[in-house]
Formats: sequence, structure tokens, C-alpha cells
Amino acid sequence: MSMTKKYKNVASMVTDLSEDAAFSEGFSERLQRREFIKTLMVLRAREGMSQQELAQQIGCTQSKVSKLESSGDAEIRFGDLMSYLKAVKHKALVYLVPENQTRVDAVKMHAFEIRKHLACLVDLAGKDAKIAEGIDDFLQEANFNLTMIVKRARRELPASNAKKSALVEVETVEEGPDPELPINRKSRSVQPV
Amino acid sequence: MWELQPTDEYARRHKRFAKDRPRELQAALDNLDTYVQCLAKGTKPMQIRFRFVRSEPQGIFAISEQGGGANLAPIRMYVVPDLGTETLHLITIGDKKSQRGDIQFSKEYTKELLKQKEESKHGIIEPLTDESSAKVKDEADEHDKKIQERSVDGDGSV
Repeated sequence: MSMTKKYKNVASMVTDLSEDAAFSEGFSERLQRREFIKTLMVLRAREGMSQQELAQQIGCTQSKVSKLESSGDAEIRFGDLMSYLKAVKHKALVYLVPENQTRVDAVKMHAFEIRKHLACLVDLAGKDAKIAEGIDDFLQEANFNLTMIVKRARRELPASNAKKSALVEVETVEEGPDPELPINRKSRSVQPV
Repeated sequence: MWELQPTDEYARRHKRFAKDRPRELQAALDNLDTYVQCLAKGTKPMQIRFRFVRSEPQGIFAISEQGGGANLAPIRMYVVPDLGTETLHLITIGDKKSQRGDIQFSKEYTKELLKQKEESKHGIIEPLTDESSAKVKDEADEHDKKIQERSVDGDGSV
């Protein structure tokens, strides 16, 4: 084993270093069982909170927090989860999806979600030109970034040269008045985030 | 993007612990995984407050098996995070008996690491060579031996 070898994560290091396959498989299963709990722990660490401080916020004992963090994802109670999230200044958004949801379905679902949020933003502008200006700036930025995401995915496809050349270069251009925004004004240059 | 870089010493001991203390090692590795996830999310090492993380001198952290299950023997993994290169150096792993020597070895390793960093023209840490690592290991073993000789009453723990 070279000293300079680096690993992207603990699981890959364990797989590489362990001579016993059962050990590394057991470890991978352990990580999978606790994936969500560990995310909660990371949120707590980001807030710089100790178990004791979190326990005080949600009105329980430190040992209860300790027990929760030592458990598996399947063991956590919904009420405890909500209290924990609130204490670390987060909230849960739950998507209920069919068991056999495909990737394509997932992309469509999120596209509809984006449409819903954009509509809310437009509503937010109301008749206020100042807010509309800010929202329009954001919409241009979002347009650019979403287009770039799709373009990048297409580029990464193992397509033939002919197909690659057929990819349409989409650019953000200045458009005419947006009927859904309360005021028409000149677009500004767009920078990716 | 944080990466892990184990030393040869760590790799050797990892294999030994996987055989002799698999439950303890899995628990400590689980904690290490949580620690790395925190670093990846941009949390500064000193801000990470978990019961299984203990701060040692020279920017070294000891990650234990705590919280990983009942009736586990205490073990510690010694790591040093390099914020510049986003590399977490896994220096060694040990139990109560080897604790003093492990800390000494970790200190020497970190000292050497800093020395190499200062010597590097571009401020990038060059990895320790096997030769320099062996030297550090010999020094730590020697130190450990002296401690064992002096120790009258037991396990030599700090």
C-alpha cells in the first residue's frame, strides 16, 4: 500500500484496506442503515451544538439524543425527527413517490416542482416593479443554470460525433416583454452561479 | 472535496484491528465517516463537537468508538486535517495500551508534515516518504519503550 494513496470516502478506504470482505460489507451495510441519522448529526455539528445543548432545546435528556444518534434510520420516531430538525434550524420536506419511480419520472416531478415555485415567485411580484426586477434577474440566472445542467448531461452521453454536433447551443438572450411579470424592462447580463 | 490519506502504519493496524476488534473498528470508522461528512460540509475541525472526537495537541484529533454500541473496548484513531489541501491524514489507530506511543507517533508525524509543508515552495504538503515515516515510527517506538520501562503500575495511559 502506497503512502500517497488517497480515498474519496471512508467506505472505499475500508474496502481497499480490509482483507476480510465480510468486514467491509458489514461496514457498508452499517453506513446504509444510518445514512439519515448521520445527516442529522452533521447538521448538529454545523450549528456547533453539543448533544446537551440540543437536548435542552428540544426538552429531553442528553442520553435520549445520544441514543437517537446511535440508532438506525428505521428506529427514529417522526416526532423526535421533527424536534431534532427544528433545533438545528431545518425542516423536513417529504415526497411520497411510487415505489417504481424511474429517474425520468423523478426529473419530471422536480420540473413540476420548479414550475410551481417559479409561479409563486411571479405571484410574489404582484404589481411591484422593484420586486419584479429582482425576480426577473433571478429567473434569467435560473434559466442559464438549468440550461447548463441539461447541456452538461447531454455532453456526457456517449454519443457519436455526428450526434454531438447536432446538439443545439442554447444561449440566454434578451427577450421581449414577459406577460407574466408586471413590468417590461431591459434584461441584464447573466452570470452563472 | 476532502480526501483520506492513511499512513502505512494506519493500514497495518487497520488490518489487525479488523481481525481482533472488528466491532470496535466498525464503530470508530462509522464515527470517522460522520466526521469526514462534517468537514465536507465546510464545518471547521474545531467546531465539530461530538463525544467521540477529542482534541489532542498539534491539531491532532482522536476519534473513538464511542456511541457505536454496548460493551466496546476503547480504541482511538488519530487524524490530522489539512485544511489547505482538504486532506485528512489517518496517522494511526490504537487502544488504551498503546495510547501514549500513538500520541507521540502522531505528534512526530504532524511535526514532519508541517516541516515538509514549510519546505515546499508552493506551500503544498508533499506526502511523507516511507523512509521518513519509518524514522518517525522508530522514534515513537523508542519513546514507547522508555515509557513502558518507567511505568510501574499498568497500562501507560495518559
